[in-house]
Amino acid sequence: MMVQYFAGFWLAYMGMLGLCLSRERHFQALLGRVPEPSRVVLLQRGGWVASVLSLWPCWLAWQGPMGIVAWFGQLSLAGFILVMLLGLVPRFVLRLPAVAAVAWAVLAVAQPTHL
Amino acid sequence: MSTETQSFTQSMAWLHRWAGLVLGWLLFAIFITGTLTVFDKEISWWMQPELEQSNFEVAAAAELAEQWAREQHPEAKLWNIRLPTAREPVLGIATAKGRNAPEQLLNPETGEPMKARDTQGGAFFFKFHYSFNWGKYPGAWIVGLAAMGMLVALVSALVIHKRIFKDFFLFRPFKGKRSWLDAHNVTGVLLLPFHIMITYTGLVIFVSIYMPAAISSLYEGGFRSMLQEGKVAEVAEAEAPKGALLPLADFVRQGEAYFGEGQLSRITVEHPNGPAPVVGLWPAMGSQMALVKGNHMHVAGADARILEPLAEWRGAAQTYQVMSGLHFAQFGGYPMRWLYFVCGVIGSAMIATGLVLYAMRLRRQASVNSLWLKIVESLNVTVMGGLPLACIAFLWVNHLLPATLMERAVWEVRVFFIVWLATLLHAWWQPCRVAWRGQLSVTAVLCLGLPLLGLFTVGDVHRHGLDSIRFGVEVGSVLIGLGLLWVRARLPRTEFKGAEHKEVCA
Repeated sequence: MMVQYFAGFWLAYMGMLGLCLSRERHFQALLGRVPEPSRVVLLQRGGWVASVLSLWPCWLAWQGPMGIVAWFGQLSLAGFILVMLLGLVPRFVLRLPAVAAVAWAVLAVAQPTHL
Repeated sequence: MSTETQSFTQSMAWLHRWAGLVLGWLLFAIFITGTLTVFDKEISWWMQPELEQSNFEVAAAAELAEQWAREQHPEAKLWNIRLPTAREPVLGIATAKGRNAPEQLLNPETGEPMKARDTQGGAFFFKFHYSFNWGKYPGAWIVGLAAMGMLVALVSALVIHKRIFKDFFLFRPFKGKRSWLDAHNVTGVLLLPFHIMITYTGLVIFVSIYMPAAISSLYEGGFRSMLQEGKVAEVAEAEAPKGALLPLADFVRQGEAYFGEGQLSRITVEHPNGPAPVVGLWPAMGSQMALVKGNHMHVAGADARILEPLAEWRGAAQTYQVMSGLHFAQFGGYPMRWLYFVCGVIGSAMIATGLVLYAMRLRRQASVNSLWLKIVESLNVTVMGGLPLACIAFLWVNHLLPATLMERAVWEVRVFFIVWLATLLHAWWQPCRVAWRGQLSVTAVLCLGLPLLGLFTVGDVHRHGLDSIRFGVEVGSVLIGLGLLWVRARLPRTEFKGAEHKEVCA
């Protein structure tokens, strides 16, 4: 269960991050250079794909249509957290998904049953 | 851009400002108390320190209730048993009909009778959320008006916010008015699905109050008989077979097999001592997304066969039920509850930033009416600073008032409103900055002190170990307290001046 909640959030965050980085202003602020046009397209598409994909773990975690409600919630929340990090502590914006990915992997391997 | 569209945008900006301001004060109060209502049962549990968590088993608990009823009310024609759940681990039993029938609380593990203090608990926030504690008329009407205003504000916002997609992720903190506007936009846009959903479904729930004309002219029995028509077909209930009542544990297992583990909220038994008892099984509200009032099935007390299955509903009725369910957020367990809570907090922040922006705009105007400015500033403090203060004071007073006081629950509510009124007077007599500081500080201190309160005031209640529900409420309170301290630290040290930045919004 916990693994899927986590996966849903991580994918939603990656989706929002992709869409965010596809804007020149944010790309430049985070990576210090102007993105190539091909990169922009890639980030945008990747962002959309990850956002849509995050529905899948939400659907599994809530066992059905309730997952759609949760998906909207996860997307909004991921976007909100991203924006707050971007404004307040931008160096965490790119680190958070890396940390989250490790945590997710640990959870997936450990499979804690009581959570 | 042609002058025509320009003026359309301008008039939408005007609309957004006024719908947002006048109703924003109401909306903030509705949002904050609605957000607290997400955890209403937990707050109620915290407010009844006499009750204790236990290692209960639902099936065994049902039998304890039966035992109590047989001993205390051997002639009873009805048992109405409220089963313990993770959120509300208490067993309740009533042996008379009706919603207000006296209910005996029992320890779900030992069957020992328990008595909790008289309080409205978290239900008060719920009542305040949908009616300002002021009844259907005018309370629920005012809330409905505010919700309409919210929809107006949302739609007009889409018109005047020209850079929705461009500025989707833009938040520039600590830059005066610029930051407030960014925060207002970001919280509004990112949570737009939530805002629209929660506002619209909130209106839909009370459709019979807000749009009574069609229903009362088409249906003789009003809303109730319209709901009856929502059923696919009225199934006649089969006659109950004769025989003695099976053990209640059997029915608990039957109900949980049907609705899911922990999803059986209530068992009723009609004529438990009669020749043909009938058992009612009631699913918990969160067992599905749709919220169906009075949803239950009847089974035979003698052989557990189904006499009357759960009602099947037509599409229109189901739509209404799913919309109510979306608003009440009883489904999906704690993760969903937290999502709703966080969305509620961010939504409140959206309204708060809007109210602050209006005051900033007013201060910059050369020809501002100083009385109007004073009114706006004081009401801003009273609503955004004072209401949370009254909410946390409500919890404090619950522990401070003697447990045996007459009309105790009424006094808790009175104190809530007295504190809120006091914050209004404070906001009016003090300069704006001082009032903000004072009220935020007091609220933060009360929030941070909540875990300590229990140590001094409920000494006569003995505790065995940690109560996870109360602990959760207290941790939440401390986190909110820390958040308020952060906001307080960010307040400007000097009296507010007009922002130096050029106006950006319309």
